[in-house]
Amino acid sequence: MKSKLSLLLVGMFLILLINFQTSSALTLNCCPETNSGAICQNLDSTDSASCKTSLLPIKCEDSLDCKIGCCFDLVEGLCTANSPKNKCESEGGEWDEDNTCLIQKCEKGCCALGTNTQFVTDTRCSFLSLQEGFEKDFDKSISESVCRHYSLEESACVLSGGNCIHTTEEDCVTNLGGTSYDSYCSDGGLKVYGVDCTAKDSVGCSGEENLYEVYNFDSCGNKEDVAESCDYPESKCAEGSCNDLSCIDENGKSRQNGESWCIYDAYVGESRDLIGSRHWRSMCVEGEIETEGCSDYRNQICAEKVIEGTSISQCRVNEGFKCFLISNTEECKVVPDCRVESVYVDKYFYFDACVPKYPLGFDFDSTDKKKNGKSICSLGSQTCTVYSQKDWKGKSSCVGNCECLTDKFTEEMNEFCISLGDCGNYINIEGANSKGNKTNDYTKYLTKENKENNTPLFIFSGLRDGSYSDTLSLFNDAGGFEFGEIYDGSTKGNFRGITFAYHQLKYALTGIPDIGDITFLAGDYLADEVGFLGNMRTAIIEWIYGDGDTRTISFDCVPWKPPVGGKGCEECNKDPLKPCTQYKCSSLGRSCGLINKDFENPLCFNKYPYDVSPPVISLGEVFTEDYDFVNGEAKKVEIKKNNGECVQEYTKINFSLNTNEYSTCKFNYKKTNWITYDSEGEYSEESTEFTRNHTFEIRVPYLSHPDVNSDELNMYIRCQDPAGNLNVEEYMVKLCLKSGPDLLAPRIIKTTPISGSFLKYGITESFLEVYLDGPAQCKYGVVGKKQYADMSNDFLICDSAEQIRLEYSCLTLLTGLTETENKIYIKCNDTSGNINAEDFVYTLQATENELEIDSITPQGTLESGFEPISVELEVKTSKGAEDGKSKCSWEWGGSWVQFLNTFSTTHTQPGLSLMGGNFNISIKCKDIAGNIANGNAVFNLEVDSVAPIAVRVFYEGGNLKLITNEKAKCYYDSNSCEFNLEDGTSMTSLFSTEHTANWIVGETYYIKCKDIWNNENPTCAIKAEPS
Amino acid sequence: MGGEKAQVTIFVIVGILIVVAVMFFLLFRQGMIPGISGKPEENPAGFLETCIEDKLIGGVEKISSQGGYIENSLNKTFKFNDENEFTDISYLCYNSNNYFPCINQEPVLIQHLKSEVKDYISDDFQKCFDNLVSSLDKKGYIVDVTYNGFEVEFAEKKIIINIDGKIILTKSDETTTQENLEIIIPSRFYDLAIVVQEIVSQEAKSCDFEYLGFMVFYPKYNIDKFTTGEGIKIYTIQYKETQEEFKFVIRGCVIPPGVFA
Repeated sequence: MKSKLSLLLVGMFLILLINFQTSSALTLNCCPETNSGAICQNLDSTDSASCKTSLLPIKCEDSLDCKIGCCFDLVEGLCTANSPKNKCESEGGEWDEDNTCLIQKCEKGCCALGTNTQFVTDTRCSFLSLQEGFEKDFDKSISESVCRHYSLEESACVLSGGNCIHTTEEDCVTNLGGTSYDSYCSDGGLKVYGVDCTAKDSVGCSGEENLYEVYNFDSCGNKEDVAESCDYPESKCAEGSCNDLSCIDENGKSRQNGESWCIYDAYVGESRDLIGSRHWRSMCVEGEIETEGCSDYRNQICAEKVIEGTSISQCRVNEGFKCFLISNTEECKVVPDCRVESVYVDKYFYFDACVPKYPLGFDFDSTDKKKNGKSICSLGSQTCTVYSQKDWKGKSSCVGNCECLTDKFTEEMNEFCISLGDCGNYINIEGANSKGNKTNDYTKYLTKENKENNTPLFIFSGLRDGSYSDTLSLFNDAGGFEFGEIYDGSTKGNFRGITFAYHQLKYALTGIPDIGDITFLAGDYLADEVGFLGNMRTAIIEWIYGDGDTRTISFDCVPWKPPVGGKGCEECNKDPLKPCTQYKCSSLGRSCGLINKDFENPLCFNKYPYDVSPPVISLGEVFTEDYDFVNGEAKKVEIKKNNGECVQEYTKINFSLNTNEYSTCKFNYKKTNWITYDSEGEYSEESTEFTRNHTFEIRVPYLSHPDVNSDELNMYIRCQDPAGNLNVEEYMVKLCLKSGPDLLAPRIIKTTPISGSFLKYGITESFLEVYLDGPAQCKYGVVGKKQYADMSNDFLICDSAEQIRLEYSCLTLLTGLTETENKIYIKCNDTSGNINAEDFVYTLQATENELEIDSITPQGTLESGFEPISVELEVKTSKGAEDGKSKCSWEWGGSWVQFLNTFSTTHTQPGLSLMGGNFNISIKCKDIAGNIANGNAVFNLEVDSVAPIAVRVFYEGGNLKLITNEKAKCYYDSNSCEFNLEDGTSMTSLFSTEHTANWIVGETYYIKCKDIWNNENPTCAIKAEPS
Repeated sequence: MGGEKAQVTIFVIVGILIVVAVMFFLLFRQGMIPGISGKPEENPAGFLETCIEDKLIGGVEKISSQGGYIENSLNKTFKFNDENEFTDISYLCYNSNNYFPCINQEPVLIQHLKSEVKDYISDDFQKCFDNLVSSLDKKGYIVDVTYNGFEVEFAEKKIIINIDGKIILTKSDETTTQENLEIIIPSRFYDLAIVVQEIVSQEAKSCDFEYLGFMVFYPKYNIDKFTTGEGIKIYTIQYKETQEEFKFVIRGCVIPPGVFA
C-alpha cells in the first residue's frame, strides 16, 4: 500500500510540473535584432515591441539567418560555438551546422613556433607560422598538456663576430644565418670561433612562457640546464628562485595553487539548506584565495572531490527539480540531487516523496507563483481524514488516522513542506523563522559542519555537458507536448485540486476497498504555515462535540516568509568576499531592500527604519450586488443589503478595504491576540503581496455554524506593513445573518470537466467534480426526473459543511459512458434538506472517430531555381471530437512548433526557409478531447540551377521546331550567340518544352533559352541551319 | 688646498661628461624615435606612431574595458570596487531567455575588434597624416602624397597599422619615396582577445568556462568571474605582466528562482 501511495504522490508532482512546463511554454518567435541590440533572440510572440523589426513566424533555430552553429574564422583559424549563421558569414566566417564546433576544422593540435608552442587549429597554426616567420610545424597527436611543455631542442648558434645564442637549428640557419652546434655556447670547443661564454654564470627564469623551472644562464645570457625544478603549480620561478604559490584557507589548511574547494553558508543537504543561503567556491590562485559565488537561489550547488589530497570543485546546476518527476523510490535514490522524504503520521496516512537534497530558493517578492514558490510549496498541502465510529450508545471514538489529531501531523508535514523548497516553517541564514524568532528547533542547521555524504556529488564534465537546454528537453521527453492541452479550458485555474483529487480517487477506487481509509483532497486553503496548528485545534474541538463520522485535518504548505521588519538587513553586507544578493537580502526581513545592485558589493538596508505606525484601515467597496457598508465607524463597519436586510446564509460576499500604506491583511472569525497574528487567520485575496487595496471574498455559513454568534458573523481584520507594524486593535466587519429557513436548493455553479465536453476516442470513464454554492451531498443517474432518494449513484466525496468556503464540491468517477451523448442527471441535498426539484443535466459526448489527418503538403519533390526555398506547410484534419478542429504542431530540431494558423481544420505554417535536400517533418494534431493524429511531410527540395537543354530540332509544317528538356522560353538571333534574350526573336509565348520559328532556308538560327527560374544558356543552346 | 682644486676639477669633468652624455642621448634619440617636432622626413612612420599612439592606446583601453565596443546598446552597467565610475560592459554572448545557452554576438571577434579600433582612430589618423605632410611642406620639401587609408592588424604582443599610401619627397633634386608604412604599437590586446573568444565559445557551448584550470595552464593570464545575483557573468581577463585587461559580460543558462518560471 505504501508503495502505491508513493507512486501516487510523485505522479501528482509529475503532472503538476509538466503543467508548469507547458503553461510556461511560450510561443517563441525569432527576432533578428532586439531594441537593445541583441541579435537572434527568441522572444515571446506577445513581445513584438522589443524587436527592432517584425518577429519572424518561426523560431531562430528555424530561421536561415539566425540558425545557430559553429563559426570558423577563416583568417585567424578560431572557432566559436553557438554563432548565428548570417552574422558569422557576413563578417567573413565560415559557418557549420554543428553548434558545438566538434568539426574537423576546429580540432586542435600542437603548433611549434620557434621555441614556443601553441595548442591551436591547423589553420591557426598556418596563420601564426606565417605571421611569425616560421615554417609550419603542426602535430595533432600531441595533447594540450604535453604541448605546453613541448619545445624544440635549442643549441648553440654561432653568429659572426663570435656572438653566440641558443636557438633552434632551423632558426639559426634559416633566419639568423648562423652555424648551429649541438652544444651550449659555453662549450669550450666553440672558443675557436671566437665564442667566449662562461657556463652557469647566473640563475633566472625562462621568460613568461615557462615558469616551471629555474635555469642556469651563461655569461652571454643564454639559458642552459635546469637549476631547480619548481614543481609547478606548487611553486613557480620568480626572480631566480622557486616561489611558493600555496594558500592557507579559512580553516588554516594549506591549499595548493589551482586547488579549489566548496564553502557553504550553513548546513547543506538532507533538504535542509537554510533560506537565503548560497554555495560558494573558493580557489587558490598563486598564493591568493579567490571566491566565486555559485548561481543564487541554490540554482547551482558547489560540489567537491579530493583526488590524491588535492581538492577540485565545481559550481554545477542543482538538478533538484528533476526529483519531482521521478516516479519510484529506487530511481530517486540514484539521482544525485534527490532524496526520499518519508512521512509517517498514522497507519493510513503515510507516504514517500522524492524531494530535492538541496531545495531551490524562491523569490519572496515576486507575485508569480512559479517564482515565489506557491506552486511548489502547494505540493506539500495535504489533508488527513480522521475516521470515527459510534458505539451502541451513540458515542463516537476515533478509529483511523487518529495521530492526525496530534502535533505529530503538523510536525511531519512541516518537515515534508520544508524539503520542497523555501516552504513551511523554517529559518533563514541568521537562524530566524518567519516570526523573527531565533530560538527554534532548526537553529542546529546554522552549523557549517556538514556531513560528508550530504555535500553535492562532483560530476565529471565528461558525463554531461551541463547544458540547461538538456534539462529542458527532459521535460519534453517526459511528454510535455502530450500533456499540453489535456486540461485546456475545462480545468484551467483548478488544475491542482482536480489533479490531486483524481489521483487519490483513482487510488481509492482501485487500491482500498473501504473508501474511508484515507482521503486526500486538495483545495485552495489559505492558512499560515504555523497558523494551521490553531485551525486544527478548532477542528478537533468541533469534531469532539459534533457527531460526524469523518473529519478532515488539513496542512497547508505555503512559501516561507521573511520575518517582518528589517533588523537584520545589514548582516548581508558583512563579508565583502561574499557579496549580498537580492535573495539573501530579502530573506533577512520583509523591510530589507537591496541598493547599488550594479556594484560589486550591493548593499542590503532597512527600507522603513523609522516606520513605527501600523497601517490605517479604511472602507473600500462592496462588490456584491445589492449590498453595501453601513454604520461605518473608525474601526468597525457592517455589511447589509441596501434595503437594510441581513445577509442570507450561504450568500457570497465580496468587498474591499483600503490601507494608507502597503501592507498585508488577515482576518479571523474570532477575536485573537495581535501577538498570534503570524500564526492565525486567513489572508485577504492578495495573500502575502503588499498592497493598499485588500479584497475579501467569503461565503457566509449557515446560522448554526460555530463561528456565528447570535446570528452575526464577525470578521476581525488586521494589517501589517513591511516594517512589521500591525494593528493591535482589530478592524471589525460585521455581517448580520438572515434568520429563517433555507428554502433554496443547492445550486451547481460549475463542473469539471465542463458539460458538453468530449471524451477521448475509446474512453468510457471520466471524473466529474461539481461545484456548489453551499455544502451538500449529491447523487446522479442516467435516467432523469427521478426522486433524489431513488437515485442510486452517490458522489464519492463531498466537502463538509464545517469549512467556510467560497465553493463546495462533490467528486465522482463516471463509468459506462458508451453513448454518443451521455446524459447524467444530478440532484443535490443541502444541509437544510433542500433538494433540487429539477435535475442538473450534465453531458459528455463521445468521440465517434479518431482524429485524422487528411492531407499534408508539401509531399514529393519541389523545385526551385534558388536557395533558400520558401515552403509553406499545410495540414488538413477531419473527424475526431469536433470534425477535425484541432491544434497542430510540426517538429523541427527536436522541438514541437505550433502551426502559425491552427485551431481549425486547416493548419498552415508559412515562411519556412529551407535549403535543398530531403525533409521528413513530423506533424502532430490534437483535438479538444485529446485525440491525437500523426503524419509526416516528406519532401525533397531540388534546386534547378541548370539552363534548358535543346533536345531536338526539326522541320514541322513549315516551321523550325525545337524541343527542350524542360519548360522554357527560347529566342533566336541570326548573327551570333552573343545576344541578349530580350533582343532576340521569341520562339515561345508561354513557358513550354516546344518552341517554333519560321523555316527559312539558308538562315542560321542561333538559339538561347531560359527556364522559369531564369537559368539562361550562357551561349547557344543550339545552332540550326535549315537547308 | 690642492685637494680642493682637484675636487673642483673632478666636478668640472663630471659636469662636462654629463652635458656630453645628454647631448649624445638627444642626438641619438632624435635619430631613433622622431617626434612630431623631430625629423619626419627621415622617419615618417615614427612621426605617425608618436602622433597616433596615445589615441590608439586610449581606444584599446576603452574597447577592452567595455566588452569589445566603443559604444554598444547591449550592455550591463557595472562598477567594481576598484573603479571610480560605472562602465557599460557589452554582452559578447547573450540569451534573453532563461535556461538556454548564450548566443554569440560577435562570432568573428578579432575582425570586429579590428574594425572598432580602426573606426576609433580613423579621424585622428587622417589628421596625423595631414600634419606629417604639412610638416614636410614647411621644411621645404615638395611633397607628393598618395593616401588610400590604413588597416589595423593584430599580432601577438602588438597592434600594427598598415598604411596604404606613398610619400614622395623632393628637395634639391633629391627624391625619396616612402611607401606602405607600418606602425607597430606594443599591446597585449590581441592575446587577450584570443582568450576572450575561447571563453565565449566555451560558455556558449557548455554554460561554463573552467577559468581556474585555464589560469593554471596559462599562468600569464589572470581571470576573474563575477556572477551577479541575477546570474549574469562578468569576466575580467588580465595579462599579468602588463596589467592590461579585457572585460565582457555573458548572459546564458540563467536559472530564475522557482521552478520553470
